[in-house]
Amino acid sequence: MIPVWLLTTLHYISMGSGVAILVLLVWQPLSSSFALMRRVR
Amino acid sequence: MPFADRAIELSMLAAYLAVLLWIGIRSARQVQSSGDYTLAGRDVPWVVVLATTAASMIGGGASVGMVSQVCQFGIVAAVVTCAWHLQLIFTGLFVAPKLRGLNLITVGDYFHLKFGPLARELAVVNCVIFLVGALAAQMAAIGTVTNTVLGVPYGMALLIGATVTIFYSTVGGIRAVVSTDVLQFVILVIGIGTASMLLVSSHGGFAAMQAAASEGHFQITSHWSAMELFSLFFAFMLGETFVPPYAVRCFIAKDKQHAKWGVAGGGVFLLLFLPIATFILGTSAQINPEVQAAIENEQQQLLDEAADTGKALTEEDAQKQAYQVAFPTLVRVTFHPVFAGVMIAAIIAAVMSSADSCLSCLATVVMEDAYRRHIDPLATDKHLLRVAQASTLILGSTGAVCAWYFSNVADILVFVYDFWAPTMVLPFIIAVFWYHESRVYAVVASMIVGAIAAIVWRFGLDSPGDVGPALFGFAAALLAFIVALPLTSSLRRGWLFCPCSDSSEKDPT
Repeated sequence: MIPVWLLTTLHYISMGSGVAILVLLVWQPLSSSFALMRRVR
Repeated sequence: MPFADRAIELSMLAAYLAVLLWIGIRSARQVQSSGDYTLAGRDVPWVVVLATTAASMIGGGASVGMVSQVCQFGIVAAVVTCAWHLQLIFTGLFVAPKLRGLNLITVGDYFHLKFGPLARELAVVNCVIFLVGALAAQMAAIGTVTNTVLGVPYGMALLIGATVTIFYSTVGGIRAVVSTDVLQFVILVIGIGTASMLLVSSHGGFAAMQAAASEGHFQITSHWSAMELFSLFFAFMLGETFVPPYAVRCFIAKDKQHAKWGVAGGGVFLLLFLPIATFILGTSAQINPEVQAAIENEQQQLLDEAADTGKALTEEDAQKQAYQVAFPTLVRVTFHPVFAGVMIAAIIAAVMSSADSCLSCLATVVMEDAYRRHIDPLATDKHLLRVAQASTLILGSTGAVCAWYFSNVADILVFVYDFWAPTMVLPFIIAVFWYHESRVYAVVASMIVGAIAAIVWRFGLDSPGDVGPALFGFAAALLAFIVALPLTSSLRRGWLFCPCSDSSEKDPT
């Protein structure tokens, strides 16, 4: 039987990884745009 | 279901399909060469490689299929899916940098480089069998999933879903496929993540869910034997290892590091995110009385239909099919219609993102391994681009027609997996970890023996003793390699077995 605390921890990790990847997906094009703007200046 | 709720769900789906078409048209403007069309200009950053790899991985089987399996069998079904994600991590860490570093276009190029022209042709045949089967299966899944989820007739669902997928893949190539994959990935993560969080909270945590679930649901092997679990885990792992859609994700990355962390990151993310999320959804479906009533109702309907039409359908098969309604019913009875609409779009997104990957890979194989190699080696880049676009259109339409006639997704996929593992996995492992030119004959022998063994085991002997053709064929290929190695290592190689490549000269990017 899988302990409840383990499932709860795994669920928090799962949600954290979901949020992290969505933030990364937004950050990636933004950081490229910032880098391009710096180069243009 | 109330008319207003159905209207909301259908409008969400229509809006989603319209966005896909817009992405296809937008991506078409960026396609200037065959390299843009088939390799996205090899400039895809790792986080986008991660998203597109994960979106391709999550098809109909890993979403609707796995939730229904967890609902039926318990946590064991979620544990088994870890095999898919582990093979992605392995591929990313050890294989992706090597594949990307060689500037290749197809899996056939890699086999040519390592084992010569005959191995290349064998690999191309395997890739075509895998991709045609997987494309037909995912096209069929578009029809069956939309039919199950929204009640739209199978033929109509297939026509609309396949038309949209073929359109954006044809006009925008891999650029459109990657862009739509990112959208599909975001919808999936937001949809499945939010749903699992709300469900755990509404049930009062895992302890309350455990108390309400059936006996054995939270046990790691549920009602399965350890051997059964191991065999299935191994079959899942072998069946998807190094398949062309993942190889293409290595080829399109910016450089070796982007390929490595994109593909391995996709595996790590899926391992952390998907098994626990599908477990929560499947368990919630099991303890929800309305979902259980819907499953029983569906099972009865299937049995009645079979009795009316004279079709042979066992109670066990009817139950298995009926469990497919678990996920959509759970979404409908638990959430607000707007969020249910998002979730339903997420389910259909999962299937479409797997179908478009297969279609794009197949067009690349036709352009590179068939047309440029055997028909017109001096073709201009513009001409090759037209060939790739025409191939996407023709092959996509053929896949849809196949899906019309063969709608049983599971059967098509099992056949495809059975054939891939025995012939392709061992040569890949040897090429990456233990390569030497003196082993070329032994590798080619293992490919031929693996293919014959899998075919005889499946069609001649009907897979005796519950050992799958993939496992048997892989073991036969390994044995053939071990036997052939000492006998062939000192032989002089003919041109068919001469490792060589012109890939660096023909890199279209």
